[in-house]
Amino acid sequence: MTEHAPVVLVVDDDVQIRRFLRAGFELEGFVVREAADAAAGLRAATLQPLDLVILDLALPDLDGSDVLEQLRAWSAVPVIVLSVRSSEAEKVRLLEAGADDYVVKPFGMAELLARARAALRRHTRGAAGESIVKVDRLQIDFTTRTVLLDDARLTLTPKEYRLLHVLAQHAGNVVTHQHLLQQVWGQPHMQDTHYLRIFVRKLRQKIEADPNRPRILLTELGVGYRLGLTTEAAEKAAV
Amino acid sequence: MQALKQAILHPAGFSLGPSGFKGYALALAAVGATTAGIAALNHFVDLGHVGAIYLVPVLIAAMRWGLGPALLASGTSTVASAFFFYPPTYSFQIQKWEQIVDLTLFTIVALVTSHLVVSIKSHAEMAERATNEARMRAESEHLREALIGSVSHELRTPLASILGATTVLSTAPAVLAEPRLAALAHVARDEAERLDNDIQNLLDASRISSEGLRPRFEWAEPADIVNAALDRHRTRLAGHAVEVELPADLPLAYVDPVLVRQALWQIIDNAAKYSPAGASIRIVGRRGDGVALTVSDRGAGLSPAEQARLGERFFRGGRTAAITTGSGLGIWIASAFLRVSGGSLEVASEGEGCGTTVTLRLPVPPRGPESGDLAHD
Repeated sequence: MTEHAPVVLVVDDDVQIRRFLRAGFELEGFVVREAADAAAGLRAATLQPLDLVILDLALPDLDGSDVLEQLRAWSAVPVIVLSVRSSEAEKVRLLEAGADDYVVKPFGMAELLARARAALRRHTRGAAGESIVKVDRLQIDFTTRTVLLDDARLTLTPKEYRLLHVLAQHAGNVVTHQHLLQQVWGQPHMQDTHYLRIFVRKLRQKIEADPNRPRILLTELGVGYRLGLTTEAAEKAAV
Repeated sequence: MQALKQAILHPAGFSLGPSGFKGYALALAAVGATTAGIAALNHFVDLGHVGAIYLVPVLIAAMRWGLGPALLASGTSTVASAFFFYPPTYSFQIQKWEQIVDLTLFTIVALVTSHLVVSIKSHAEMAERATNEARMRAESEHLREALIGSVSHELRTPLASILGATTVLSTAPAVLAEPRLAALAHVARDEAERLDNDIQNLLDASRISSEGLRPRFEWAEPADIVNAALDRHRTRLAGHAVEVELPADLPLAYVDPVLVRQALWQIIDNAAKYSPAGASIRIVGRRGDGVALTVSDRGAGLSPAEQARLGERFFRGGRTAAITTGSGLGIWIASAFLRVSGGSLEVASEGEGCGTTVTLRLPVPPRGPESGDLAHD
């Protein structure tokens, strides 16, 4: 992770939520800043360098998705959205508006930390020009375009590799169906989720010990896929 | 029920309260007025058959005061016309056969029409009552849904803080260093999770009956749905051996995967709730008329009577109500969610104590995903 203590900005109007997020993040070595509304949040984001933003969607002065849009106009800081709306369409919309990931209230601290760490790692990886991503028993090298499973080289078709590559770029964070379809098959196939299902099935047969019970290539029902820790594993890691 | 009670307490027209006597008196008065009217008009024009005119007070009596006054009106009308208008006048004697026929016909018509009027009127009243009752029921239902919806949201806000705080506590080094405190923190976290599940159930139920469900159909991997349902609450299933058997060539289903996951979760939750700790729960996927997912447990099972009532909202088996918690919404939610996803739910049990098998059928429309055109890459 970063050399200095990572700075996280929590934007939420509920003081109790801010309180437990502060405790949870500080216990993990983060420096925490708080903002109670969108205006204060955006101001705080311009005043100091941030490593991570936790953004509540139901703010009193401005809708969270508008805050996201304004922030994304000038900043690439990782953003994890806190959503009470359990509508999958809403989640997809937020991810396409530039959120790195989401958790649905009520959520556990371990889950949020796992998402936050993944987003931070992606950011630092990009900045440092690292080209190798490791997830569980899997290792993906972007420069040589090779995939190792337990150190044995896997043979993947170009599309299978492309799919894994896009997921690995966001390792630990969710990637929407639409993004994957666009990146792997191109614009005309944006609605063809069944292409994706069939390729994921093939890919799981190659990389998962039990394709019916995946540990690496995980499904976010109605939203997309995630390469990385299951919530269970994340909770164990946190303990 | 209400209508029956009404009919027993106040049989149409035969009410004997003060208003009933008033009805009979008014019916007599109407006949008297008609007789006077006919007598007055007879000075100017020959009205001939007066029977038709006497139908007026009879119908008025039937409409306004019911069957009893109407019968009285028709009887007195017959007598009055015989006495006043059929020769010899001012006597009850009748000379001609045609006049007897005339009076008999009048009596029959008067009886039949008053009966018709009264029954039409009571039907109309019943229909009106039924409409009123239905409206009131709909209003109270609507109110209840709105209440459930808003209460659930209100409960969720503090619950998010409670659950979040307990997850921080249960992993904090200071708490973990003291096992007794750690155990307490876990209790608080698990119970908060359970509360959240219960609230989710209420929200789901209010979604079904108020705003309606808008499914988002997509091709879904059955294994993904099963895994998501199992992951949703591992703590609940920790005491059970869960076996999953899904063939590798199971077709993709065309459903709203999120709704089907909620449905499957309800079924698995029931299986865990109604079977002893340690008992196995089997989830098996099969091909055949779409995809069938069966969830079998070795729990309390169902008697035929319980099976018949299973689909009712808030139904809970009497045998198990005392030893399990729940709202009785589970199966109702599950079958509603499956239905809007184009699927269906079947519940079978060999009987009490013999376990339950629930089958979720998910549709696989014929225009299935063909991998031929995209397999080459």
